[in-house]
This record gives sequence, C-alpha cells and structure tokens, in this order.
Amino acid sequence: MDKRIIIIHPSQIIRQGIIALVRTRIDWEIIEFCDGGELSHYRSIRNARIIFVVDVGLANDELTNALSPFGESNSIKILYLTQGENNCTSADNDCHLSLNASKDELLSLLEVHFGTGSNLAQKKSAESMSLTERERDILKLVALGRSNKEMAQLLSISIHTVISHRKNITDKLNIKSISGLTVYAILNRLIDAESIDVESLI
Amino acid sequence: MEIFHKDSRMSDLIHRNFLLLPVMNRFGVRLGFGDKTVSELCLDKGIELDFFLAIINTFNNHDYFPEDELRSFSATLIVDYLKKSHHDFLKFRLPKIERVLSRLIGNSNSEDLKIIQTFYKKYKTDLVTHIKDEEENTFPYVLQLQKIHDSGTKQLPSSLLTYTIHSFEKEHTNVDEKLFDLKNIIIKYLPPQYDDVDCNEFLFELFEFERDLTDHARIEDNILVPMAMAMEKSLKDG
Repeated sequence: MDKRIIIIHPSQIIRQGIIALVRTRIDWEIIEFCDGGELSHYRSIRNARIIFVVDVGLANDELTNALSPFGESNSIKILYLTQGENNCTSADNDCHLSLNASKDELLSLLEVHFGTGSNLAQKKSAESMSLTERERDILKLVALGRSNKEMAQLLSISIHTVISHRKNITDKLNIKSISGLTVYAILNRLIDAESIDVESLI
Repeated sequence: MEIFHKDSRMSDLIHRNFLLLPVMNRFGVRLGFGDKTVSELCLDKGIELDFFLAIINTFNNHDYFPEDELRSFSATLIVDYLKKSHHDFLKFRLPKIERVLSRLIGNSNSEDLKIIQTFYKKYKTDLVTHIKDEEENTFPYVLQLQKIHDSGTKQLPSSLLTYTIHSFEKEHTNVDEKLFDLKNIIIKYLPPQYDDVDCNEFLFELFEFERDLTDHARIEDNILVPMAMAMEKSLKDG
C-alpha cells in the first residue's frame, strides 16, 4: 500500500519543516497545500494509507467533507497540529499533535498508522512464490490454449479448482494475460517452443 | 508535487519534467520558448490556456486529476487531444520501441528474445485494434452527441437512440495487462543473454509508454465517457 502524507497548513515554514523531518522515509509521498481548496483534484488516489496533517485552525465541516471521500478507498488518519497539548491514542482516527512535539513524536505517530509490519505480510518467501507441481501442469495447459473446462476434464478436477489454481499462478508470477503466461511457460521450458505454433499461441 | 500555473515559465516546465515535451508537441508547442510564460505561449499559439494547464498538470502529477474542471471543456477539445496522442503513439512511440527491440535482438542470439518480440507484436495488434475502434466508432459518436447537444435540440435522433457510450468504449484493462506482463517478464524471468544497454533502453521505452497510456486512459475513462453519459442523459430525458 502506498503511504502518503497530505499536509494542509497555511504556514509554508511549517509545511516545509514537516517535509524536512520526514524526508528520510523515502517511501512516504508528500503532497502539501496551504488550504483544502485543491484537495478534490487528488481524489483519484486509491489503495493508499493517507495521513492528513492539518492545521487545527482549518478544522471545520467543509474540510471534513473534503477529506471523507478519501476514506472510501484508502485508509486515512487525520493529525491536527495544535498550539495546545498532545492528545493522541493510536486507536483513534483523529488526533491532536502539539506544535511543540519532538521529531520522534511526529515520526512515531506517522509510523503507527503507516505500520512497519504491513509490508512484511506481502513479502512472501521465495519458496511460497514458486509454483507447485499441479500449478505447473495447469500453466502448461493454459499456455497450450486449453479452456478451463478442458483442463478440468484432463486432470479430473472441478472447474472451480482449475480457476483457483489459475488465480494462484497469476498471483505468484504477477502475470495476468494468457499471452504473458504462455511466454513464461516457454521461457521456463515448461512447453517446447519447437513443437508448437508460437505465433498463434502467444 | 508542484502544480504549474499560468505564470510558470515554459522553460521551467521542461527543466522540471522533460517527459512533458511530447505532451506539449500534441498542442503544436515547440522548443525555443525564451522566457515565455504558459499564458503568453498559449495566447501566441491560440491554445486554450486552462485546458493546456489541466493536461500538463495531470500528466506531470499522477495524483492530480481535476475531474470537474476537465469535464467542463468541450468534447471536441478532448477528442482532438486524444487523437493527437494516438497519432503520437502510432507514428513515433511504437516505431521507436520497435527500433530499440530490433537492435536488442540484432545484438544477441537469444531465442528467448524472439519470443518476447512475438509477445510485443501481439500486444501491439491489440493496442492498434483498440485505437482504431476508438477513432472509427467511439470518437465520432461522442462528437455527434456534442453537435446535437450544442444545437439545442432536446432529442436524440432515432439513429443514435440504440447506442450508448458503453456500446463503443471497451475496457482498457486487457491491453494494459499485456504491457505490464511484457515488462514484468523481462524484469523477472528473461535470462539476461543480451546487451544490457540495449535491454535497459527497451525497458525504459516500455515504462515511459505505459505511463503515457495510463494518463491517456484516465482522460478517456474518467472524462470523455462521463461527459458522453451526461450528454446522453440530457438528450434522452429531453
């Protein structure tokens, strides 16, 4: 999941200051505004973890309405910058961070939402990414242009199982098109390019 | 990520993002700007300033997409831009990718690269078919809608009643998937029996082209199609 920080604060010094403090985290993308006016132009952001860092003085219904559409396809959190005290619990979606807070306090709050562990789940071991024997059988048949129904008959399994194998193959290899899977099968010598009509199968 | 404004200097735009250059060419803009600002240049060239800025900023910044503003332009303007992009793809981008690919294959004796070439050709066939379909069917339909809409007629002629924009515009997904797969296979699975410089160049071209296509598809799917749907609705409701 992409990690984005959207800073909405009238003070350029504060915006640039936050950017300077978080710059070492290279996978955090930062967008900054002096107010919420242009937010709607960014509504195409999807599947991201977004932290809005907002001047508490800007908090009103209008801003809440502008932020809420982002929550539909992203995981969002709002951090209000205030002259007052810190008021943050990790479970809450909104929290108040004092402008007197330290760099570490800011970073740790951001990290809680972005999660250092979330990427680990996506990093599967090399072993679990390699195809099983059955998946290789299916892949060969896909590459040879067989339909799901034909594969189910040939291997004496249900179509549902065929589809589930195919999904696993696509997830593991990160190849979606049939042409792409065929190319993979040829490059990995699962099928013999000499014995098939490559032009028509790819 | 910065947003360019009417007072930004044209030369700065290119210094910040040289990939904007081919996008600008589609508007008939060429280098040698001197110190001209965006608004001065648009005035000189008779380009619609707001449209130019919207397209440039959309391309420059992947997160930036002012849907409401883009939908306020005429379909004619958008179709014209999309057609110029198609022309750019077919006349310059694809031939360049092919030149690079031929050199990659010519400097290596890997049979695997020929398989990659076959896959590329298949991708190209799909893409060209898709573009042709848009130029011959989708765009003329949208332009006709706009014409009827502008004429103040409150009803759709019966010849158009049976169609909707969805009868024409097909999903881009299948074509896009092949391009992604092509890149991914080279990155992950192609045995590196080739000249690195040649292969890097091929891959760079594919990445750049993919980026251009994504931006293009975004304008088609999120701007042109909703605009056509809105016109259909207003004409059908009379």
